[in-house]
Amino acid sequence: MTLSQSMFPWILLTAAFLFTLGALGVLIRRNPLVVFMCIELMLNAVNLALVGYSSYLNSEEGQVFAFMVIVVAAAEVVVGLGLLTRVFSIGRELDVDDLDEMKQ
Amino acid sequence: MNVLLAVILILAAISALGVVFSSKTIYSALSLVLTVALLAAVFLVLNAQFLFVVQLIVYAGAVMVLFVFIIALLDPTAEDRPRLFDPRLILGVLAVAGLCTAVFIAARNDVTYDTACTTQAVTCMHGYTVGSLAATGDLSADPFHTFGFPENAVDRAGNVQTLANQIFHTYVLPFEITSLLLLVAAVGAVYLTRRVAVGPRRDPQAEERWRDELVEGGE
Amino acid sequence: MLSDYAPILVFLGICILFGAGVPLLSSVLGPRRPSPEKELPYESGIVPSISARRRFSVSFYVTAMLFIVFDVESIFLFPWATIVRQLRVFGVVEMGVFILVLLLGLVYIWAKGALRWD
Repeated sequence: MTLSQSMFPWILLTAAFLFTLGALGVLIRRNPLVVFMCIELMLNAVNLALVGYSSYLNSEEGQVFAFMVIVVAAAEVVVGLGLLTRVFSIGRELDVDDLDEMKQ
Repeated sequence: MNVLLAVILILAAISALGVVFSSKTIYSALSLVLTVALLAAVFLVLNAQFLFVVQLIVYAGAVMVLFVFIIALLDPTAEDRPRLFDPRLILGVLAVAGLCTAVFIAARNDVTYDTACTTQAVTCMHGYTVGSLAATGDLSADPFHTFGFPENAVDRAGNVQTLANQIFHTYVLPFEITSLLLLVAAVGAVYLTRRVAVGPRRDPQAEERWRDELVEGGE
Repeated sequence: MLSDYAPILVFLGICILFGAGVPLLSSVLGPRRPSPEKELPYESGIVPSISARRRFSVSFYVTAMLFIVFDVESIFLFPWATIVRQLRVFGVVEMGVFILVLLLGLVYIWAKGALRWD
């Protein structure tokens, strides 16, 4: 236990860094694919925090939640990338600045 | 061991920078693969063996492959420049620095959520002092004890069994709802990709020309 | 506890050494007489028909998508299998419901013809 307790602030720091970096990527990138990857980065950062807390508080629950987050992220990626293929097939350019209507 | 963890965390942070600031989509994707794999290694160090495997199989194995397929399907050579010199970038960098500093200081100083009501454990779940368990080791003082976590629950061997007990006993309903979520994802994706005209637009003449050039160059 | 994984680390190291070392050795030791035919992209011995830098078919995506969904399903089966004896009938019922719901999805996908190539 000494391992995770002394390293716990650093794990949290990395999680916060990855999360805010993902948010930054969502703000500054134009390609929706990269925006998706940045969202994945944010989900992974949350998973890291959950597993870090799980180890720190000596509780299994954090790992269960992290597992559920991974499952939900997989489903989210399937639908999200399906949407992107749809957007592409109706001839729109892949740029989040141009995709500002639900219906063209 | 702490050194190992520190190195993995630093590498993960660096490769995450690659995800956000790469000029090509495919580089972003490959950086994300590296980040995901490094986080899997962190899970292993933190004794979350099951999550380590799940992370590798689902994320590095399946989700990232899907990302690369989509890049190949849409535009393999796509380039995308980040909005540099944009007010949003400055705002974002400030947010990154601010939140990271706040979280780090809070974690270092064992910040409590609400110190005013630590005495009433039942009504004040948020009053639990984050650092107190680590500091005192007094399990009876913290409300989490009422959940009945055995000592060294996470460190115990058989991580898969203990997690499975949680998933299939305590969280049966979320588990069943997950199947609905996956069902919706499968149906949605099939619906969205029905008769999509994105397939390779074959141009027989261009292919012929390309092959001729290749063979001529070879002779 | 973590030292239990030392063999895996050694295995990983040997893999990297072998994977990087053999091409390196063959490029250093082997004779090199390049000819234009040898420089062609390798496509099972035939002359490649089209460039690899083109868009892929959407069928690849549909297959990968279905793979993820059922991959996650099998991920759930693994921890379930470790404690199925303690769960007894309850475990069988809850996993039965789970698989039944996903089976509905499979039937829909099959009926829609998403499993057919092209």
